[in-house]
Amino acid sequence: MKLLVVVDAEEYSRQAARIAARFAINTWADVTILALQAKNGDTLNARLLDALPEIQCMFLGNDSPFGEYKDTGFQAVSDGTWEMDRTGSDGRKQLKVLVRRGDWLRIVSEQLEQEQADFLFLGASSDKPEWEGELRFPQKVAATVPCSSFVVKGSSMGKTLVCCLDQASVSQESLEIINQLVTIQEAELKIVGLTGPHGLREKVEERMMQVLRYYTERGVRAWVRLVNEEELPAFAHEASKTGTLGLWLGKKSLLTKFFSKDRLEQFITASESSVVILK
Amino acid sequence: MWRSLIYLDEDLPSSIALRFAAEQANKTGGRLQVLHVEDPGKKAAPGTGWVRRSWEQGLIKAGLDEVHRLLKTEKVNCPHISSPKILVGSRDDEVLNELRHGMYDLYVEGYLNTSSTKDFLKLLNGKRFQNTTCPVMLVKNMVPVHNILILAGEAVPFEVLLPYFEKIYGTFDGQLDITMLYYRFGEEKELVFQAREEAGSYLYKAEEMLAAAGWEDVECQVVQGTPEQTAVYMRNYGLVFSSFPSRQTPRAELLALLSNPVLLCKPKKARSKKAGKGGLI
Repeated sequence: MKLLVVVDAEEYSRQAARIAARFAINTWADVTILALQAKNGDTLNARLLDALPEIQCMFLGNDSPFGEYKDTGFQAVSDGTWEMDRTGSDGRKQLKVLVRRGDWLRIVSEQLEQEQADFLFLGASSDKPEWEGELRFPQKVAATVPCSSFVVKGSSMGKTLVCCLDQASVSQESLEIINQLVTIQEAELKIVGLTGPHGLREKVEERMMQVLRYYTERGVRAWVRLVNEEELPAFAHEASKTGTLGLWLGKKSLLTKFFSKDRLEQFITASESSVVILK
Repeated sequence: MWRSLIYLDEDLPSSIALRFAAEQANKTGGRLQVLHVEDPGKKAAPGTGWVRRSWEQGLIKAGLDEVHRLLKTEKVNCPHISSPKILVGSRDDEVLNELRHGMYDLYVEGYLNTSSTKDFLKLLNGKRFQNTTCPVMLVKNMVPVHNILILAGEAVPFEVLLPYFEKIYGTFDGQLDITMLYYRFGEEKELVFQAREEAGSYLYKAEEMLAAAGWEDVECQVVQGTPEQTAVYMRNYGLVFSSFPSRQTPRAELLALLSNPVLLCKPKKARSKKAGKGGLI
């Protein structure tokens, strides 16, 4: 598994990095930390330079596959891109630390493609929906990237992870992501099937059975329940008060009807807690 | 040894019910009888004699394949009374008929909670559950049973409930913690825990009866709150044991909101000497 952790120098990014680090150490994933700096800065941003050693350290420690702490400075690798020199860190897995300048949405998209990342982490403030003046940046990223993403709000995921499912197509990666998230946070998993006018679709029900079996076999306690699709927005809002909400958004998903790109951005902004988008 | 009838379709609620019931049977010395009913649909059976028999045989074979697929997928291992029974007809009628003739101690079905508690109450008030002759286990989720909550209330004579509980969980293999919760409806902002005296002599008597039956150290609580608050509080129990609720009471609402499996007892209407006042609710 490959993770992309997008950060700036704010506290919400530290919180997202902490959760990403626990996830990475648990899964032995390759990690790229991508720090974004203001579009016009020619030199490295001082606040980022202060924050990145601390963020790097979150990924290190006794059980870490990323080797030892190394910070021998950043080297410019291309125009507007700097990479931390971690030569000699002797990690079994890759931990790359980059700083990039430019159009942030484009940069994240490029980096995702370059790294072939499976899961993206980024933090968001609960009271200020922006990153350095870039309005709803984390929300825009989560709504547009092709891979699963986790918008982290606050220091913990809460006590529950509520995952809504309304389609038969569920990737193995997304199942494993959920498994790891509930494990590292010791959260309760709730799988919610969306019902339409004709009840729960047969293929969705089959998939829910498989998903439930998958988690039971791994010793993860998962609760199941059904929610009528018309009540989803209210249910999602309520669920976000006590824990993280997960949405399986696929091409055939009705959830995309309720959570179009704009609405998803609005929902993540309004959500009181973290949101995980599963692809 | 208790005997249970379990109803299975090839769907998610049945998958959950099967796994849960099998685990309970293995831990308590129970045996399961699988039942599936094929609905012939609105159309009348075609023809008579050989034609009709062939049509019914086709339905039974389809039902048997469905049940075998589920049993094979779930890979559960538990004692069965006999091979799965596949019947053609109305589910309510066939289940009730089988319960009447099979001398079962328990009837098990899977159920998925929905946004509306009305769905659950409608099921309980439907023909099948209003006419069952034995306790009913509705499995809403697959939960490991290390602890059981007995939901008590003034209208529920515990001496009537206890034999049903003993029958199934009296020989539980392993540690089983019992909590007795005396529920009262209230609309405070948070759940209120009261002194056990608030329940009068009910909890003292129930505790004595449980101790006499071999369950020492039962935790007794008196709780007042909304059904929603209480359901959240009760979510960590492996099973909730209760009397069958009457319609549209806070207690019925609470049972509908629970995510845990529930075991509901509907004692016979005849009064027993032990039961004193007898009948429930």
